[in-house]
Amino acid sequence: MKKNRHIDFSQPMMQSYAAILLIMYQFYKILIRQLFPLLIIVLIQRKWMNVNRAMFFIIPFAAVGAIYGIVAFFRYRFYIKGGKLIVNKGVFKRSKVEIPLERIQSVNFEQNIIHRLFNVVRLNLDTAGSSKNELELHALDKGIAEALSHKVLSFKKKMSASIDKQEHFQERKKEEIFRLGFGQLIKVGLTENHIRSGGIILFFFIWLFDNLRDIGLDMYEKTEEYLPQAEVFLQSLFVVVLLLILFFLSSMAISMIRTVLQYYQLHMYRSAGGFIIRSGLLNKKENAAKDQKIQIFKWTQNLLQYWTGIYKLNLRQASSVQVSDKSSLRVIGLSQSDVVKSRNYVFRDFIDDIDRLEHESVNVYYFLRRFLIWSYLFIPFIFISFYIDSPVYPGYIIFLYAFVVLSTYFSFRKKRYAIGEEMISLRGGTFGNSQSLMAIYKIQSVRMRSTPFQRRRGLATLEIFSASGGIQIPEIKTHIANTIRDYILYKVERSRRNWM
Amino acid sequence: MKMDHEFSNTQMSLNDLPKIGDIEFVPLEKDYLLVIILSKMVSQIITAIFLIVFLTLMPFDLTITILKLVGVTFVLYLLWSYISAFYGFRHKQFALREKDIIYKTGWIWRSMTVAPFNRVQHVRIDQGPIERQFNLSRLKIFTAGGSSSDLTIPGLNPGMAESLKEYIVEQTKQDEEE
Repeated sequence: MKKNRHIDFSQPMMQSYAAILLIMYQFYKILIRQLFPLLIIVLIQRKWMNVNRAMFFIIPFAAVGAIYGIVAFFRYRFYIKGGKLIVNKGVFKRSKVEIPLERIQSVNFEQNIIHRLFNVVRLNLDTAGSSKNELELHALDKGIAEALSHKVLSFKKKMSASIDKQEHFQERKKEEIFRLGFGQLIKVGLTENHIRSGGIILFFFIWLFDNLRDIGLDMYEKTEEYLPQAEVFLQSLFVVVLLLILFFLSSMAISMIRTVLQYYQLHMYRSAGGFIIRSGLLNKKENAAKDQKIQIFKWTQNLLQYWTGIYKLNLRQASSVQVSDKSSLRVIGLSQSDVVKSRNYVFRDFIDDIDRLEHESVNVYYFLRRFLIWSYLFIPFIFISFYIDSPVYPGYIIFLYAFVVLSTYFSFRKKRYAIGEEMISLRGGTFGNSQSLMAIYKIQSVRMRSTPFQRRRGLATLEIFSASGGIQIPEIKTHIANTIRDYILYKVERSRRNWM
Repeated sequence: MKMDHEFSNTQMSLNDLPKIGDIEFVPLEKDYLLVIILSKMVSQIITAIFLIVFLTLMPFDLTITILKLVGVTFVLYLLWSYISAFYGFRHKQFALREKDIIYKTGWIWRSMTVAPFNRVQHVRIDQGPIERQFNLSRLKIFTAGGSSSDLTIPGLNPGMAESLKEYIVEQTKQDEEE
């Protein structure tokens, strides 16, 4: 690809021809998403399944999509002039977008299956402005894309004097931090949160039924019609167990599919003062996270992952003004040493400080107060269910009560915080574990809150905000909270470091 | 205490940290209490209208008991909202320090937010329709921490709001130059 490094970007250029297909693909995707319930009705009610009639609808839509794609493609030009990336585009309304190169925060590559067929990539340029300022190039030849990315990054380097030598050095070599092998991928899939996958199945059916009802096909009613038969059916314990197993297996299958789609061939590299994360089966994604932009470094483990020693990493970046989910990068399947390694990169100036962190527990009222609230809710219920012929077996309610109280206790035991000289750490988790790490100089503001109950015990809750979300230290002694707040403010206000 | 031990590496001892506790807070303009009460009244009148419409359109017969119950609840709600408006107003205070601004609010659920000037993104002055009648403004201070950490100080007289804004903008500029 080296030969392409000297492409002249000052002349208006078009995207690769594959962009026509991709724009059309996007057009159809949106269309199908909008008309989805209608399509299902058409599929269910057989009389519509007439080829001639179907064509009558499909051909005009297809034609409109194709024309839209072609026009959009030929109207699209991009070039670099005067330190700005300029894009002319628009089908109905022409528009010109100008982005100063120095404001481009990161260049992300993405490839879905069409991209890979034509050996092109989609380019996402993330800027420091609002999300409207983001720019997308649907399809570029790989070589051109790399040259453009190189041009943008080298321009930025010339502009900012603050980039240290270390970064130049690291630019040349790409160090692999972590690679998710196929065996590991299966392990990750098996240890995902299956309850959530089960929830997705349930929600899908509810959503589907609701949408069908909106257009006059009431599945709830139909279910009720069949209910007498179903009740006889469900009385057999065997069938219930079978259904549960089926539900569990399909939840697991969904977790597995989601994992493979998202994390297939997951790679994490170290390059140019940041991380590059690449993954995906059908949609290949490549995202970059600069150390500068990472505000919160968080790892989590659910119980299954804890047993198998797998960590999930969450790099929360400050994107623009809005904190969007997109700017949070996830890597899964890491070992503890991988986590420590990447942590030491992000906080390379504060490694000693992190090692010295001593975690303290929050006040026992964190547990007691929640225990009381749950008790007020549950105990009357338990009594009522004993005296009245309740439809729910009291044992279930007692079990649920015990579960809630126990999990509150676990989360109290795991909630721990530490304030170092330069770092803040918050540990947590209910059945699993988690830790959030934050550099104090990146903190944006601090808030202290207290309820009357807390004030009676001399306690307060401290909220600490970064540019990508905040953390909460609940139920600590007021004088400690005061000291922490004063210390953070002192550090932040004296800091001359750039937090982004 | 363990905490003291952890901080002992800094150049200064914890007792020398500038403390917020030592600071004198400034209350909001007295007229702002009227603004709070008036805006509460507006929403209460709307609630009352909805309640009356709802009660008259109800499918079942209105008994005296139901009416009494609804009436008592509504009066209690009114009482509560004015008491909380009054005490809540007294707890709304702000303080300006050399390098940050602090805003306290809440009578029962208290909160105190601090925004350091070198993290402020921009500052804006707003004025609602009721506030305009009383010649009051509100100062909105935006940090990169997102909407949950932004700071709004209501009930300032426009001159004060303007000079606060200028001061904060001046501070953020200085920070950039250094």
